[in-house]
Amino acid sequence: MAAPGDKEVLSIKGLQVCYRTDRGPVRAVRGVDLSVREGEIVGLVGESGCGKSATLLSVMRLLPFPGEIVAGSIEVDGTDVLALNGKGLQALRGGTVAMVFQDPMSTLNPAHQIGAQMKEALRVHGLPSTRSVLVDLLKEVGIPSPETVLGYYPHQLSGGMQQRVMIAISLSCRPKLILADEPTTALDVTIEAQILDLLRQINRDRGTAIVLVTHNLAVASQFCHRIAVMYAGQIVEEGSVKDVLSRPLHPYTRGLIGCIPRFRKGVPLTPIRGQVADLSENHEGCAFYPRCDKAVPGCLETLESLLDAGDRMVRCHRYGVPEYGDVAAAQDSGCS
Amino acid sequence: MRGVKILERALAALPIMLGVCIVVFLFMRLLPGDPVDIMLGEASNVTQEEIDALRSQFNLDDPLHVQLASYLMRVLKGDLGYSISRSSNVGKLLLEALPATVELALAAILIALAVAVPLGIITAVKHKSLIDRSSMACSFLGISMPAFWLGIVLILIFSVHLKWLPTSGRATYGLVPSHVTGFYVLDSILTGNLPALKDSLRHLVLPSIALGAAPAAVITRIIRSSMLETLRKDYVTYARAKGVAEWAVIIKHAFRNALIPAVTVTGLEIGGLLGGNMVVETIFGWPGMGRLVVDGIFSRDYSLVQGAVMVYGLTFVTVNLIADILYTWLNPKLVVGEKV
Repeated sequence: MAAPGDKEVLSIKGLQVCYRTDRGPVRAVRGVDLSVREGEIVGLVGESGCGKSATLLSVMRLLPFPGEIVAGSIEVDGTDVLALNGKGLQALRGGTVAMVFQDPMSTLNPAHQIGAQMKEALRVHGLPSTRSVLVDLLKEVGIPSPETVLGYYPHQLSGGMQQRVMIAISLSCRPKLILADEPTTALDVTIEAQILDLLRQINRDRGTAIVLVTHNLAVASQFCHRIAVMYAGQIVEEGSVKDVLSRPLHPYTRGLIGCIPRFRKGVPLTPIRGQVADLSENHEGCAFYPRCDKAVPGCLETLESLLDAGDRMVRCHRYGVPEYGDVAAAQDSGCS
Repeated sequence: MRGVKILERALAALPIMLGVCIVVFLFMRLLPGDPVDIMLGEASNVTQEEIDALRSQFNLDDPLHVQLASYLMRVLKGDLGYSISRSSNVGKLLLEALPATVELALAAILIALAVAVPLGIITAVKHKSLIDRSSMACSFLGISMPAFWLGIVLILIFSVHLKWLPTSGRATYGLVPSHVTGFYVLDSILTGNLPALKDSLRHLVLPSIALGAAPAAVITRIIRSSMLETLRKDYVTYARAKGVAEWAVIIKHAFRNALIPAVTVTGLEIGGLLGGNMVVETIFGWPGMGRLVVDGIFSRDYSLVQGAVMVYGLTFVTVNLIADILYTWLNPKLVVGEKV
């Protein structure tokens, strides 16, 4: 992994996303602050529906209707993303920031050849799109016989190969930041490792910052410098991968780690009790409170920001309480 | 590979055509009365002997299966028979009428597509907007209006009251372009005959609107619903994420894929136009196949109706074959299957 630089590539402050549905507003993202520096890999983890993808899509201004950004600011490489429109937005999308989606089978257009889809990305950003450029890109992402693949349609490639093509397209305009939305979820485990290796190599060779959305803590632990755990549209814990996963402070992070299956016989899984918070409701205080084993009455008060816990930030009232540092249990989980 | 498939489909049309031939033959015989009854219906001073003689002259006194067999044999030789009511060769009559029908059908399809494609795209992009809702109301109207009613209303408004357009026919007397292809619009362009071009276009407007309204409405709906589906696809979001301009996202990515289901329905609709044109040609006095068939049915002109319906059948099969070819061409998954 490349050592992260000092320059901020992505800065999200107080982001709030709301889906105005027929059954009332759903607040998918409720005040997210996230900063990513040059060459850094940041993991965004959490359950389905916690606002990870909505946060990423907000950066590209690609929230599907009826979702909209209601508050906050997003800056990419010093540019205010929310002020962009038309040409500026097109230059950002695929230019400064590239996105890799979850399911390559449905993300590449079935009706166009691979070569045409690659060419399109280069052309809209005014870059040369000769055959040799395309071949070099495909070579870089490790596609065998790239000359032939250019003439293929997506369905003629395997899922792993399709994902490589998608990564090649994201690379094509030399973005400063790649947003990877669960890029390996649709692939099997051996391919997953290859794709992650590829992304890591790109990060190392080109110094491209990457935000990786995943719900797989093992992937995050191997791949990221820093990790932000999201719950109910908020970041609940953020710090270096090592600190967060080996010594989780927030009860939710600990719960997530408790849910990872282990090889050792007789170690039961400890699921988090209760249901994921309903985002169409207003939550007074901590959103995790109804499911938290360590809750105290103070949890019903709203925390305006994350608390500084020295090596990381935590959104929990109980941070610092002695019985909290139950390090041994977390280390047992084998995540360190 | 593709050529073989097309040939396969074309050959499959043969039994269909045979079926069409037999069914029409039998259905015509189910109608009460035969050509001789109709021809002699008004006359009172005819003897039974004379009637029988006429019947045997047209071979109408043979058993049904003999008539059918001899008809099929003649068709195989390319002879569609003799039209009793028009005293002419059926093949010749159909060839004369075909350009008129095709010209009208093409104009109707052109109008239908010119309305349906942009409207289908816009209503999908502006889903649930005012334009979407009002277009859908109009399309509902378009589907519900029968062509004969719409034709008469159009004539009333634009020909009778406003006097903008002619009420019937293909061309004003004296303005018929010299014969090259039989398509008046094309012929007048080829011969550089501007007044004839203007005249034939003016004659074409109302019937092609009457004929194209229903397919326009149906195709709009199909394009809209398949656009709504493709617009939600990941590859459309991905195209936006690549920085592709919105219009190109809509046309190159969403519409290109939405075309796949739309093509099949459009093919069927064009086939359906053939049925509609009998009504529209009759109302507008359009000298095409539709009118031949209608007249033929009323005068029990067996050979004429059978011949015309066979041409209809052939056209229907061909149009659907073309739609199928377009479909495979638009959908690469059907053609190239190998994996790396």
